[in-house]
Amino acid sequence: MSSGLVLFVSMSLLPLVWGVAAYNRFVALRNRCENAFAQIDVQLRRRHDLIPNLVAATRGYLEHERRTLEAVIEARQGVADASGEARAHPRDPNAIAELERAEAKLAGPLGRLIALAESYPELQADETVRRLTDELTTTENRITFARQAYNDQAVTYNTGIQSFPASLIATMFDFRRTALLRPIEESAQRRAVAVAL
Amino acid sequence: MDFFAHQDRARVTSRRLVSVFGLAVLAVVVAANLAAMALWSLVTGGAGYPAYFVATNAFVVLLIVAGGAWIELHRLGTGGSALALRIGAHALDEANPAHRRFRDVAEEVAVGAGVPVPALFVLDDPSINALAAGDRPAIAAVVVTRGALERLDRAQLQGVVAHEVSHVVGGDAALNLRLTSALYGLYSLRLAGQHLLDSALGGRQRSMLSLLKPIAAAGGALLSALGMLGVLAAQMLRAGIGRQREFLADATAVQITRDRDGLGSALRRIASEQLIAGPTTTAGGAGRRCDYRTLVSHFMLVQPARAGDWFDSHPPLAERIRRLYGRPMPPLRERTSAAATSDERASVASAAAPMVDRMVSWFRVPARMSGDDASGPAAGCSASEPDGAADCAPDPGAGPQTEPMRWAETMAIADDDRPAVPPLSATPASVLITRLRAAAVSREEASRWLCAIVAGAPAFKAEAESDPRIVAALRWLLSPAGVSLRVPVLELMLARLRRWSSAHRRELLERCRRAIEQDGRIESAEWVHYTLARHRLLPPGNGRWRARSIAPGRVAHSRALAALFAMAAALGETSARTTRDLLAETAALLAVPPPAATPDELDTAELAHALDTLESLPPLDKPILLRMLARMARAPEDSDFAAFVRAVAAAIDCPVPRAAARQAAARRDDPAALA
Repeated sequence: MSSGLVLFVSMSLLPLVWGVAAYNRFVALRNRCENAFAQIDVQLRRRHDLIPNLVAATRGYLEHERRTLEAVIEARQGVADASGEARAHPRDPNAIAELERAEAKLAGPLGRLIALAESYPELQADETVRRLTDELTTTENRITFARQAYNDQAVTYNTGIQSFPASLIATMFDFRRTALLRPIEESAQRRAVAVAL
Repeated sequence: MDFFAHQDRARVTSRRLVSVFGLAVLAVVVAANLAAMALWSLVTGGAGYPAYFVATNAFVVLLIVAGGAWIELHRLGTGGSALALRIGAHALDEANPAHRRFRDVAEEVAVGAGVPVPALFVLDDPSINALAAGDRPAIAAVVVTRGALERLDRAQLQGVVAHEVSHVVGGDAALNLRLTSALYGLYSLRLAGQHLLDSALGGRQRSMLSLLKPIAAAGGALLSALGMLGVLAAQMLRAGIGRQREFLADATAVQITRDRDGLGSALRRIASEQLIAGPTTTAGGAGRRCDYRTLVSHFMLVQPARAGDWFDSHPPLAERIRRLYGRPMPPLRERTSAAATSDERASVASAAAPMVDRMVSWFRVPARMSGDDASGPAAGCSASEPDGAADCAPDPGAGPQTEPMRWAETMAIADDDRPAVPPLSATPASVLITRLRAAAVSREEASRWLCAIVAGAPAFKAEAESDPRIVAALRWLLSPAGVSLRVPVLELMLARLRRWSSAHRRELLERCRRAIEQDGRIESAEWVHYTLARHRLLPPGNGRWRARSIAPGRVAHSRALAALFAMAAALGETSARTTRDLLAETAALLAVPPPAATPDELDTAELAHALDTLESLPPLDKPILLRMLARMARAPEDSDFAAFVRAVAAAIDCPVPRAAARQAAARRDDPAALA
C-alpha cells in the first residue's frame, strides 16, 4: 500500500471523525438543556406543593380574606395544567409561553397572600407560617436561578448548532433551536420575588 | 459567560499545571541524581558508579515524593466534609434561623449552578470568610464562618456562597487538592533530607558507620535544599494559578446570581474590616485558627493575612472589587449592616419575649433601680459611644448595664439626678400599655392612640373611644400632669408598632402627619413627637440615606448643625450668645467649618433634611453632638427638651449618651458659663 493511499484514506476519515464529535456534542448540549428545563419544573412543583400548606396554615387567621385564598388556589390549578402541557413538550416555545402566562397569574394572588401574612403580627409570630413564607421565598429564588441556568444552557446550545460549519451537522440531524424564557409580566414577577424583604 | 466553558478551561489549565508540576518533580529527581553522582565521585575519587546507581536514586526520590503526595491526597481527598471537620467546622443547626437561611441560600445557588447541593458547615469564627473543599461537586463542602452568617445580609451571603460553589463547579477544589498534595510530596523530600541530616549530626559515635556520617550529612543537606527549592517553586506556581481562579470564581458567582452587588458589597465589607484591623489580625488569633488558616488559606474566600507578594493565593481585594464593578470602589462601612443585624436581633428578641413585656415589668420597679430586676439580655454598650466604656463600668447604685437599663437611660427616668417620676403602673396611662400588649388590639385603635399622643389634645376625640378607661388614660397623658410620661409611653407604643409591616407603618406615619397639620400649624412638641415616631418606625438602613450614594460634605454638615441649633435655641429659650458659642464649640469638636449664623426661620422640611444630613456623621461624633445639644436646655429636668434630644438621637441613629443629661445640669450650676 502506497503512502499516498494511506494519506488519502486518513484525510477522508477526518471529516467523519469531526462530524461524529460534533453530533455527540450537540446531543450532550441538548440533554443539558432538557435537564435545566426539568430543574425549573422541579422548583415550580415545589412551589405548588407549598401553596396548599401555606393556605391551610393561614386559613385560621385569614377567615375574612377568603377571596384571596380562593384566588391563589384557582391560579395554582391553572399552573398545574399548563405545566403538564409544557412537560409533555419540553422544547416547545408555545408550551413554555403558556406556562409563563399561568405563572404570572399565580404571582399576583400569591404576592397578596404574602403581603397579608406579613401584615398580621399574629401570623408572623406563628412558627409554621414563618417557615412556610421563608420556604416560599427561597423557592422563588430557586425558580429564578433555574430559569437563568436554563437560559444559559439554551444559549450555549443554540450558539453551538448555529455556528458554521457545525451547523451543517445540526441541520442534517434536525437539531432545532430552543426558546429562551423571557419575563412576560415584569411587575407580577417582581411582586413574587419581593417576599425576600 | 458560560460555566461549562469555564470547566473546560479549568481542565486545560489543570492539565498544563500538572505537566509543569511533573517537570518540577522531574527536575528535582534529576538534580538529586546529579548531586548523588557528584558526591559519589567525590568520596570514591573518580571510581565508576555501581550498577543501578542512577535508577535506585531516582526510584527512592520518586518514592518519597509520590508517597508524600499520596498520603496527603488521601488525608484531604476523602471529600470536603473531612476537611471541614478537620478545621473544626460544625454541621448546620436546623433550629438556628441564620443557619436555615444559609441552607436556603446554598440550595438556591446550587440550583443556579446546576450542581448537587454541597455539604454545608459553619465555622465558629467572628471574621467574614468562607471556603469550599471537595474535589468533585458530589462530595464538595462549603464552610462559612459565623461572622459571615451574622453580618452579611441575604444578597451578600448569596454572593459569597455562589463564589464558593463556583470553585466547586470550576473544579478548583480538585485542582487545589492535587497541587497541595504535590507540594506536600516535595515537602516530604525536604523532610527526608532533614531527617538524614539530623541523624547524621546527632547520632552517637559508632565505629562502623562513623565513616559514612559526613556523606550522609552532605546528602541530607543537599536533599533538603533541593526539596526546599522545589517547594518554593511549586508554591509560587500554585499561588499564580490560584489568583486567576479567584477572578474566575468571582465572575462565575456573578453569572449564577446575576447580582454584582451581592458579592461586591460582601468583599467591600471585608475590605473595610481589613482596613480597620490591619493585615496582622490573624497573628494574634487562637492557635487553632492560625493552624486552619495556613492549612486551607488557598481554599478561602479571602486570604486572612495579606503579604502582597508572589506567594499570595488570592489577588488583592481591591483588584477583585475593581474587576467586579469595572471601577475602584471604596470599602463598605460597617454601620449599615450593623444596624440591620441589630434590627434582626431585636426582631428575634421581640418574637421570643416581647420587648414591651420586659419594659412594663421593669416600670413597676421604683425609679431607682435595684439591679436585680433588670435582667435583660446583657447587650452592653454599643461600640459607637465614646463614653460607652465609662458608662459601662460598674456604677454604684445604678445596677448592671443591661438592655432595660439602657432603655431607661433613653427614657431619662432612672438617672440619679432626676426627680423621681411616678412609676407608670401607678398612673392611668398603664391601661393604654396593657391594652397595647394584648394580641387583639386592632390597627385602627392603635393608630388613633398614637395620633392622639403625637399630635396632642386637638387630635384626641374622646367620643371615638369605646372604653372609658382609655379615654381617661389619654386625657391624663395629654394633661400637664402626664407630660413627663408622654414620651416614654410613646416609645413603648412605638416599640410595639414596629412589628407591623413597613406599609402599615408608613400609613400610620402619614396619618400622624395629617393629625399634626390639622390645625394649620406645627408646634415644636408635635414636631419632636413626629420625628421620634418617624425614625423609630422607619429606622435608618431602610434605604433612606443609603439610596443617595454621595455622602454629604463638611459644609452640608455645618449648615445642618446651624439649623439644628436654631431649633434647640427656640426650644430651650437659649440666649443668642450661648447658642453662638455652643455652635462654634460643637463645630470645632466635630471638625466641620464653623457655620456663619443660625437661620432666623426654620421649616420642618429643612429640619428633616438637616437630620438626614447629620445621620451621615461618623458614629463617634454623634454622641458629642448630642451632648453639646443637651447643654442648650433651659433646665436639666425640662422634659420637652429631653424629648427633643431623644428625637434627634433617633433621627441620627445614635443612642442618647447618659452624660448628656448630667452635662446640662452641670452647665446650669456653673454661673460663669451662663451668659
